[in-house]
Amino acid sequence: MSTQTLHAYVGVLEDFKERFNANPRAKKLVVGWNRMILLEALDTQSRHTLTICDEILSEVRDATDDKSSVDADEVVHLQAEQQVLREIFSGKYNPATALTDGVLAVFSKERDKVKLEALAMVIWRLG
Amino acid sequence: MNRTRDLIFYVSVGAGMALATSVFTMIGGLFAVAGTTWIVLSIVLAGLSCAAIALSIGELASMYPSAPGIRTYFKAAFGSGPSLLAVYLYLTFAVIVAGLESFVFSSVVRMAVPGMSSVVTVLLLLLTVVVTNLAGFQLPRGLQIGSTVGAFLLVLVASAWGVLNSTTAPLSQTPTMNAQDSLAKLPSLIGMSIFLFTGFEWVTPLGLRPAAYRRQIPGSMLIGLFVLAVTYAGFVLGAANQVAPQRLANSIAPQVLLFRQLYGQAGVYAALALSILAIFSTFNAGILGGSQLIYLLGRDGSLPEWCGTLSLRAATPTSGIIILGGLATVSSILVLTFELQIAAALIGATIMCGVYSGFVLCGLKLKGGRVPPSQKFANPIPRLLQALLAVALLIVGYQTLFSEPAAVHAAIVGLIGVIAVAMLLTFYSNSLRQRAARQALGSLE
Repeated sequence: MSTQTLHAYVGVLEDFKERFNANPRAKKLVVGWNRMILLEALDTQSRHTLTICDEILSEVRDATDDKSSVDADEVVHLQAEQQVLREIFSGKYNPATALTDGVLAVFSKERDKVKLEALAMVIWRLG
Repeated sequence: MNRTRDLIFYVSVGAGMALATSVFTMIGGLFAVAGTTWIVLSIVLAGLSCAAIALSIGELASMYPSAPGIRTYFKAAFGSGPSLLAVYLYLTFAVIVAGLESFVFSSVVRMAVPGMSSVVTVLLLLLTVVVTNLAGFQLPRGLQIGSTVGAFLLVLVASAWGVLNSTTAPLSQTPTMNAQDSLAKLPSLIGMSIFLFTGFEWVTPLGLRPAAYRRQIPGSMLIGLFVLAVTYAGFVLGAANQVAPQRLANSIAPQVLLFRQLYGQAGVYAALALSILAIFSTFNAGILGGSQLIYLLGRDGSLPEWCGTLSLRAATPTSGIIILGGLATVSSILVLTFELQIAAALIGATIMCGVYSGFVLCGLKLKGGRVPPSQKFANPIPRLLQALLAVALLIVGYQTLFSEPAAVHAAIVGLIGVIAVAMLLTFYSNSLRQRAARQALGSLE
């Protein structure tokens, strides 16, 4: 993976963080929903986490070398190729469609999957 | 510890989805066409067939973990059109079973509370299910497991007691069938018995971790199928030991007959408790799962946009729940008014034999897809056997339709209607998607 590609990917995640924190509806949606969103890129093996705590998306962290968080119950684990994750977090690919297309996998409680979809709808005004 | 808890959860989801109130109506239907030994044999063979299907589905799930199975697998294997047809057939199955379930539930309620109107019971039940789903209420995992275990225990205890208690109806009593007739009917008996296991595959989108798809999800389906086979076979033996097969054959709810025979009037309440527990795990989850499919079709442009409405407050697919709840109500009223319970069960069984055949074909077509080693599951059944299974399921499904002479006409007409509706919806979805693609192209130009 080139450094440039990685920077662009992290840039998309940082941009998502800013959009999330600036969106009152998104914040309302995650009241009492404290989760770590783990993004695993299958092609590049990169792993990044987004932490939502007290209605704030507090950090985007490179967790490529940290395997410990995977088993935690409050982790929403997304698995896809990096390009797919990039398109989802830049609003170009609806996560529900990506799931149906079989290019995205989400490992979490059922309600968490719907919550992610709702977040995408609110932040990107999808649908 | 977490892994064990997860496995129990997966087993409870798959087995719980299958143990519906209407399966006992189908068991009554089996008593109408064969003797006890043949029924048990057909249950065992259906369980083995479903285990082979589960291995195919397990392999597909490891390729597309957490995906809405039927839509994704069929789309990847055969393209969008066949995938949509399969989804609409699956949804129709869900609507038919919802109608059947609520009809049987209302019958059990009437046995417990004589004079209670069936229509009122059905409407109250569906209203409750729709409202709780719209409100976003979901059973906590512990309660989901508890209600499933409770339902199985009620059946297993009654079955064991029925087998061990003094016999009032001889086990071998088969009023009209000889061995040759029963052997000829074995394929349709297997098809009817496959209905008893349907729903075991609903666990595939629920994996909580990637590694769950390597062993736990496929394993949970096999464990669930084993538990179901033991439960059903035990029930058949227990019921046949206590109640005359002719009475079981003529009953909408044979479980009530067995429970009443064993426990007196308290047995009727036990049967009602069983129905309520089954409703918790089957009906509720079925409406929610089906509505999520409608939501996904709305989101990907296969249905109008309003079908993809999501409640941000409750995080539930609002339109999907209302559509499916409405259709389930219509289905219930139709079953109730025209007493179509056996025909509905046969149509459902035939549809699912076709859908399961499709799953096996998807597994064959997509075998060897790229999967991370940590979550890879490979179906150990040789390809030739899988192909034979796919063909056999179609034959079994076809024969099932003709298994009960009294319901054949309604079953054929119903199935033709169902296929016609599914094809029309597929055509409609394709035209919607083509129109959207043309518009997108136009806006680019």
